[in-house]
Amino acid sequence: MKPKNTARWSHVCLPKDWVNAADLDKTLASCPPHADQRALVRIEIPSGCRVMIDAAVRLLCLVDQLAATGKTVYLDFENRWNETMRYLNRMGFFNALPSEVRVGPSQPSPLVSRLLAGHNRSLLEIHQIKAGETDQRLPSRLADALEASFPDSPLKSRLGRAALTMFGELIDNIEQHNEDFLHGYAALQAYPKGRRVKVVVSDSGRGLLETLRPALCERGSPFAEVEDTHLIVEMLQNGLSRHGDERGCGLKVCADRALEFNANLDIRQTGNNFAISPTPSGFQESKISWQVNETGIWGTHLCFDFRLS
Amino acid sequence: MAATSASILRMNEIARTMTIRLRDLMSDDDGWGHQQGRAAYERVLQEIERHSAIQVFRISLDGVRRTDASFPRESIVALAVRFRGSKGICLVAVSDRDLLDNWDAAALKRNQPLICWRGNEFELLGPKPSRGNAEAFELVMRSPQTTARELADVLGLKLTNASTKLKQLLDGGYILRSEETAPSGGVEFVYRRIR
Repeated sequence: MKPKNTARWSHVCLPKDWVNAADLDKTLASCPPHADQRALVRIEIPSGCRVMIDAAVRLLCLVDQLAATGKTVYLDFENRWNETMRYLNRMGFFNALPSEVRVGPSQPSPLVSRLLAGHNRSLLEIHQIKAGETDQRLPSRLADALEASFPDSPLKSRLGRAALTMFGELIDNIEQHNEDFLHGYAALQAYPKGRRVKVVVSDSGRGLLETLRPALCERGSPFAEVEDTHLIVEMLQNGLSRHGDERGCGLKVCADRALEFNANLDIRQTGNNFAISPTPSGFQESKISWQVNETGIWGTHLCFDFRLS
Repeated sequence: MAATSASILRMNEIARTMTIRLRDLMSDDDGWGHQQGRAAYERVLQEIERHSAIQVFRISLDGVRRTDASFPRESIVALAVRFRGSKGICLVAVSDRDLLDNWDAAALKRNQPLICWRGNEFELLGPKPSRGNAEAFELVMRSPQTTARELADVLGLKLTNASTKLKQLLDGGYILRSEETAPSGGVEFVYRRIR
């Protein structure tokens, strides 16, 4: 049911275009829902808006967070069942929504996405992660599905190995570190014809650097006082953990596997975003572009964008 | 005579070892994460404790398809750290070398050397010995056992220098050591590769 009395609702309208996580954040930054005092949030997804996998996952995290703070969220698809809804439904977006979120014109049937799960041609799926409840076979299933998407590629096994590494490490990170009660998400989109793969993992925790820095200060690490970009590079090149020097190789090995495929890395967290391009010498500080993140979205969002040459 | 002696040494070496097939102690062909790593740690530890007389445990990766880095870090590398100096842990039966990239990262993170054997050739994962000890390490790896005297003779070192190098390799987790009766009747240290 479309909201009446729209003054009571804060309103976000996504662009009528392909929308990735950066585009979503740009839209949200102009009127961040967390900062708005109104308890009612309407997120309009017009016809012609094509939500990409990284944006879909980020939007799910935002919706979870808004619902957790007691806000009423209404996802408005312009009152008609359109291609955008079909696309999001195929990837399992609506199945992952909290039950209290309203969808207009109506919530799609969960049956369709369940039937399509695992059978999408471009391998497009979103999976929930929660400590103690995550499917222990999830990283393997995603890695196997990715290999199956590129059956004739000589890179098949390496791709599968990279996917298992990334999903294994990043999902484990959420399970180990996310004290929050909200779900994290893991998603994969493969474009066999375009020879591209996107690996996305998001959570609603306290944020990568926000949890790491206090721990580094506590143990007197030389990295405690360095700039954020420097810290990010250290995590990617050598590994750092809030649990001590013997842990923290997870993000580093993900970066190593990403470099095998010349992947770009997008890290979004509360307060700032980092876009990192690979170089022959690995991920370097000179190749990080940094900007303030004014969306107010909690947690850490990681997207690896592989190119298979 | 020398060949027979070498064969006897090799047979004695094998008698001190036991192979554990890691896949038999995993729930799947793939291993990932802290939780699965710790579960594998406990199961392998039980096997080690059940065979307390064995000095070297060869972890067979036959059937292990893929792992991330956290899994080996929390399982086999953690066990190698635990038993450093007293028992040896090495890897065998690796069909795909690419599997080892994450194991190397795990071993580096825990500062624990881990030797992977393929036939008579080995690959050292994790931290490498210092430049000063690299030659000594290579020499120890060529035969089942070495003494400081033998090392000193081959490398033209003073006995104390050779002893220091071997002790450093022992402390670093690269080799093992036992006390045995010397030909002279006294006690000497015998250093062994982890194979």
